[in-house]
Amino acid sequence: MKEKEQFNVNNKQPHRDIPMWLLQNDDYLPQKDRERYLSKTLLGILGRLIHFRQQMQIQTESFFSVTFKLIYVFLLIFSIALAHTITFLLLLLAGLLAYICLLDGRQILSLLKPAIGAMVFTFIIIVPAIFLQGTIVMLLPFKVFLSTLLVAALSRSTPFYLITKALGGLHVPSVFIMSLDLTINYIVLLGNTAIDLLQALKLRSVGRNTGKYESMGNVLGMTFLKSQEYAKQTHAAMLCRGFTGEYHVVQQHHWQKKYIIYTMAIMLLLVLFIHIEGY
Amino acid sequence: MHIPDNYLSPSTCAVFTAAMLPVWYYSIRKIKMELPKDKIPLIGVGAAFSFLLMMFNLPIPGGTTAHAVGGTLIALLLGPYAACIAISVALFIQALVFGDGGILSFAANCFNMAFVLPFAGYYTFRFIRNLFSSSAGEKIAILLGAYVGINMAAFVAAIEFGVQPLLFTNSAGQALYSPYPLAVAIPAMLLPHLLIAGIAEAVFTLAIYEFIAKVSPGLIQDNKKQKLNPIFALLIVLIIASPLGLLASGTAWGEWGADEIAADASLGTALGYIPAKIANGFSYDALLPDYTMAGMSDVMGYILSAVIGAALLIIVFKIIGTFVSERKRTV
Repeated sequence: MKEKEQFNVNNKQPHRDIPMWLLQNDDYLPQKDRERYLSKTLLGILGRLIHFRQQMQIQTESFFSVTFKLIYVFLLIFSIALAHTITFLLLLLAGLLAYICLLDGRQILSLLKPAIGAMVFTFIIIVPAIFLQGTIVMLLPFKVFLSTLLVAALSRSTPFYLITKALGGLHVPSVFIMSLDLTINYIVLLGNTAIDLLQALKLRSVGRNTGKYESMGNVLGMTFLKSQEYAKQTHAAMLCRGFTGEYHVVQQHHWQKKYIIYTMAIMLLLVLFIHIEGY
Repeated sequence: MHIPDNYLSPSTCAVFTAAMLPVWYYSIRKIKMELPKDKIPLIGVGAAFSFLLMMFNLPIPGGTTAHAVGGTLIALLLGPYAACIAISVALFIQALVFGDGGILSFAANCFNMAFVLPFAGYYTFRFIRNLFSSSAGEKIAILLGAYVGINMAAFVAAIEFGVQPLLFTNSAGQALYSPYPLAVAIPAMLLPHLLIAGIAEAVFTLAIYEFIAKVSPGLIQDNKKQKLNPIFALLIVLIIASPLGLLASGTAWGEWGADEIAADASLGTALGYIPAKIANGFSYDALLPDYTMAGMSDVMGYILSAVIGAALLIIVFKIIGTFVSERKRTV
């Protein structure tokens, strides 16, 4: 009650407490500054992070186990690399297109973008070879397109932690798995750090900030320092948990009926490849 | 009905390109305004149907072939404007990937099959249905609409063939492009379509329309159940059945290669020469010429072509669908 009265009194006579300079109208208009680079960087990193977050939440209920998918994709890429006629590649293209056309438009775009990008890049590199070798070298961009599409399809349909697990089960060297696993986790961690720093820089830059590009360097430096810190912390945490760098995946393989279909799928691929390529 | 390159003069092709540009523009605007955005991927499914129907070549007495198009079907399901775009994209993929129909004559083919066909079919259907509004009347309207649509398209294509020898000949009086005058081209194009392809088109249209109305009425009327699985199943059946189109071994009238045309006897006697521009005009090597693959049996090649074509069409319209919905959301 007392407080309220005091407040009212203050309201009636505002001039008593507030200094004069605070009551003057301030016609400060901050100078416009170019922020496109900063905004684009922010949006770029955010987009990546959102992608990773979505990647972790993929529904994994599938008839085909992750291990099988991994082996199959590896086999397919291997056979793509070995193929020397376009027929086998067209067969794979038909299969891949049939799979893709069941996805929704946004997913299709996210698969095709990297694949087409890789294809165009390869094409540019091999353009001189067309004049020497003829159009046979055009198989190369096509092969790159198919392989990239396959890997993209795998990564969009399977979260990374399951891929790591499957790699562990396949006895892939643990140094390789650990690098992959830590890299993916660190991209998210460091991305969050970079976003915090960039946002701070953006909020503090009122009007024209001439030192902004120098600050961009500082942001990178800070992120690097942070990564060192994280690395030490991770190492300590791993030691505490008794992690020796080995990925032990508990494997209990019981015979399942779906293994017959897995085997048939692999046999079909091999027979088709050998038949078409004429080995 | 796919006019190959060099059968029409470049100037004819330019005229039809100029005619199709406003049609495409207006159709796209109409689709954006009138079609709900979740139905845009369905244009791809319609285009895939049309693509597959065009693979079923029907043998015509006299050694040529013809095929249904399915344009009226798409027009009935999604409207004539969507049908126009769907068939245009289907024709584009046929020309680019499979070498069926020319690159230069793409717009002329679109004019016949993507513009004349669905609009003639759709408005014939509307006209007859308004006269007889019973359910039998609707069936008759669908049959007649599809029949009229494909025959109108064949008629226009015949005129395009027929005016070429009137306009373009060399000093010896030999035609430079298509050598058949109107008196030969119109009966040669129309008879197979009136007798065989038109009936096939009408039956296909009614059968598929009734099937869709039964399993997924939401595609035809709003606020009803919309199920896509049976439609995909039907697509798969059509893909597996597509090698039946190989049974008709001849080439469609007006789609001969340079090696076939000299022996053709549509004029009464064999033509005896290869028109100059057909012998050495514009040529384009498609990825999968005539739906076949080197080193693979024709049947397998045909099925694979059907899968690639149908899947490509569905993918293209699904991607277009994402762009349209994004734009609507930001506005």
